[in-house]
Amino acid sequence: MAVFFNQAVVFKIGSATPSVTLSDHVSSATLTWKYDSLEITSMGDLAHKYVQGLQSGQLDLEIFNDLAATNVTTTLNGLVGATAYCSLQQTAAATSATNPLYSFTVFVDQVTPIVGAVGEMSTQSLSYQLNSVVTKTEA
Amino acid sequence: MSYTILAGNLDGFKEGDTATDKELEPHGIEWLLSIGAIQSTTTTKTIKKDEE
Repeated sequence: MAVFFNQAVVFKIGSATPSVTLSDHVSSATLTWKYDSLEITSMGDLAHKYVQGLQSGQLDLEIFNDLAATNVTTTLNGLVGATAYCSLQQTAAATSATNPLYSFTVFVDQVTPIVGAVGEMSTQSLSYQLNSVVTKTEA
Repeated sequence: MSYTILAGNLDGFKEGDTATDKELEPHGIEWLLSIGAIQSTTTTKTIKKDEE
């Protein structure tokens, strides 16, 4: 196993499938998913005990605006207020156990098509709640 | 009906390709049209009316 630096994450998004690739405009992508910890500690236990509850998660993106058709601003503007299908993968190499594909949906509750001060890049800082479980595909 | 792919970043297609409803339906045709990813390919058929 080797450590690696982030350079080639593949991000796709769409209204029915993750069909539009926006990776070349993403400067940062973070996918977090977790489970609620339901406590089942009972008499006689010497430590807290938990079982898995519902899953939840979040997608955080830093993405450069681009007004071209089928690019960042147009694509996200077309999805706001709806559920979007997303996928993330560490690299564009074939899906495998060492390069799993993460698929999920998010509720697109915000976009910032106009953002930033004079002289700055127009960058959207987005944070979306996951609207489904995360499916990890390894083949 | 067929469509011309206008986007270079549409998964599974290349810019300039022609695709059918069946191929595009899973991605959401209305949405793809709305973001300018595809364009309907219309054909014009001229029917000459017989002169009386």
